[in-house]
Amino acid sequence: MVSVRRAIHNSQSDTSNFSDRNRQSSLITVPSSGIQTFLEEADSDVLLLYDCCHSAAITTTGDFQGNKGVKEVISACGYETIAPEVDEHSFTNALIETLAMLSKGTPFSVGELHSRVLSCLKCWTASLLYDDDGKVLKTPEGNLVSERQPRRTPIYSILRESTPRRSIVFAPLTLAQPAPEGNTQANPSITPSNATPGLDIDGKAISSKKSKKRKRAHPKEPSWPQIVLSVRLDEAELEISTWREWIRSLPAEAKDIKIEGMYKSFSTLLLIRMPVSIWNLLPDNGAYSFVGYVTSENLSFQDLETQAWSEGILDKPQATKNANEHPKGISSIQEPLKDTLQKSSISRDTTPFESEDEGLNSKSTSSLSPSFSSSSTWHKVFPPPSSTTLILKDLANTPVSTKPKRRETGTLALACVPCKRAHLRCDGQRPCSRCLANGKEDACVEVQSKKRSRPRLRDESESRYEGVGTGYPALPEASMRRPLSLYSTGEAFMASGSGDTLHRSGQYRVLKSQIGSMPGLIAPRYIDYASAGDTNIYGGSMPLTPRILPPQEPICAYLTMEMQIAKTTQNFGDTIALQPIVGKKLQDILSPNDQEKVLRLQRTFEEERREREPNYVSPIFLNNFEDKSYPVRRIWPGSDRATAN
Amino acid sequence: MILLEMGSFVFHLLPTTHPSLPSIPASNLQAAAKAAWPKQEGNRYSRVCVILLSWVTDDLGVASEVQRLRHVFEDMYQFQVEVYQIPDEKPDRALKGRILEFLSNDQDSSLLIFYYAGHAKRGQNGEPLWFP
Repeated sequence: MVSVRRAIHNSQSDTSNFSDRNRQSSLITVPSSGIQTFLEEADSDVLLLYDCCHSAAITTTGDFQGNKGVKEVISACGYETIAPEVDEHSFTNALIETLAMLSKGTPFSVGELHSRVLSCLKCWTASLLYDDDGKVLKTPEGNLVSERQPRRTPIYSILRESTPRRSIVFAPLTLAQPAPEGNTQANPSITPSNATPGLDIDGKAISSKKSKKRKRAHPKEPSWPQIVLSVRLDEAELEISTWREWIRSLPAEAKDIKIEGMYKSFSTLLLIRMPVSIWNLLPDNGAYSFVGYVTSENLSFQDLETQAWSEGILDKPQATKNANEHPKGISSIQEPLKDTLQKSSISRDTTPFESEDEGLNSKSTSSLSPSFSSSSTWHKVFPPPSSTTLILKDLANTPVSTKPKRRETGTLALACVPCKRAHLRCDGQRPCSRCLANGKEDACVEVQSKKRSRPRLRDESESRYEGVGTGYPALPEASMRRPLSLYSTGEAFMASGSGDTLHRSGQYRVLKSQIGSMPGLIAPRYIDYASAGDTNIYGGSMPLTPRILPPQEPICAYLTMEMQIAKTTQNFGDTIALQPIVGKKLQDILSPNDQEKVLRLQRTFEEERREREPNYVSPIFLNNFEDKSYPVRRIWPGSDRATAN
Repeated sequence: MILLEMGSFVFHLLPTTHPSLPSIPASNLQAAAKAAWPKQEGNRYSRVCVILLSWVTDDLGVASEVQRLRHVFEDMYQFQVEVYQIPDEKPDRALKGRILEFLSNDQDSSLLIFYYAGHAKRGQNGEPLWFP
């Protein structure tokens, strides 16, 4: 005999298995709707768990439009249903087990919780009933009799949605130092590093009047440096609260994205700080511009925040009990916040980007990224995220000095081939963790090490490339993308020579390095921020003498300033299958699509030449080009020191 | 092959024209963030408060379940758990007072979890009534 639990039995019940625990006479009742109304009014997200009968009958009792939090409910059973007894079949039992199991995993939504509880409850089948002799019981009609299904289907419903829609997400709170006890006034857990008022959802640390020995959520210390971006928005009417809400609805780690400032402009202007890792994944879009790397919170916020609190402008998040004593309570946080934002943004450490010409050279920016201070506005508006990722990944873990001094020579693990190819950090173990994870243990060998020191002389010459001249179209990194995978194997070699050759041979460039690995070109300006392990990728100088001799003659063609092929190696001719190749214009052997580009390139070169050597007289070529020592350009990703494919 | 590579080289060197400022890249940002943490750790709430309600008169034996649930929330999730037993005397007033006190935790960034175990029946208007 099973006894009814949490239930008033109603007339529809099958009385054969359930006893009627008549509690109708009980005079003590509480209408649950009144309590639920309180909870529905809350700003917080609220999850209701009802383990009682008729629980799914509960509906919203009022009409609270525009409330902030999500209100969701899981009830043990549906309307007109009787919840199971306190035993293995009960809803709470399944809930406890599910919660315990999920606590070790990733964050989960209430919907997922419900479905897990459901599957936990439904993994049960009724067994057949037997009579005393062990015979299977049958009904008079001959049907088998099984035991009564004691389990009920828990119901999940959403009472109120927030706009925009988000779901309650469960996750264990991170362990942190326990908050000081019973201190409601001091806001003890507000750390200076998390002092972005209002915007930093998790920055509002906790102390409650109830604070016992409970652990509190404590925001993880973000990793520095981070990126500050400016974003231009079409929608001029966006409220900061909308943004706050939006960021909140992102995956949990996106809380590291902070809004640092918001301006009205011809299109709304927003300053956003985010971890490097998110920045790395951002696709190109002209609507946002790189402002700079930062290594701290917005310091101007801190002062303003303390000030604001002392003045009572911003309500202390914890002092909810005292909220009414303030002229402005929690509800009025939004407005002062906006003011604060505007004020503080003016005095921001990182110069706002309106002054684009100077802004990129401002304090925190220039210390880290002189690479973005080129004369061209073009790539300020359109920063080269893909190319910088290579640097940034290292940057994230490299201590940053305020002055771009010479890179410290640290002992960095040599990357293995797959890591190098993927431009990802290698932990130096063999096999390394990345390869283990990817099942590439076999390929996990160190990239052939090359001499990584460089002559000191280069320090001065680095800056010279900056002055190439305006005629040179918007320095190449602007258009840079990740090097094509095609070149990834050889790029370490190919890039290596670019820096030297540039300066050695004056106006003549080793194009092959640009083909293979664009970072080679910008190397001089990045080099101080790259890790030692990446030096040769970024054009860390090589001794002028080639150290790695090609196993075979490279595919190589030499061009004149007129883009005429002056000389080729044997392989080149073979590959082109066009004889005689010498003397032909490069345009003639290129596809029509590329001809225009070559022409533009040629124009660029000539402009540059005019600028540098106005008196340049082009050499007079004889019919026989062989073995003349006239200026040439070499094209093609092979060279005397590179292994061609 | 060669032409292709030459083409890409030329492409690299010559920047394309400045794109006009496009619209909001929010979806990009969101996609990026989601891509960064497909399975992320962490919690969007700075604080989670739980209240477990049952009756002083516990003829169902829910106390054991409430105790287990409390341990799960406290020890495994580090939530802040309060247990309240509704008295038989003037339960409505007592319960509402307790709930109001609990609602002092109400904040934008917190999550409130409300659990009730006990009897329930339909009232005359169909609304649920709780009773011990």
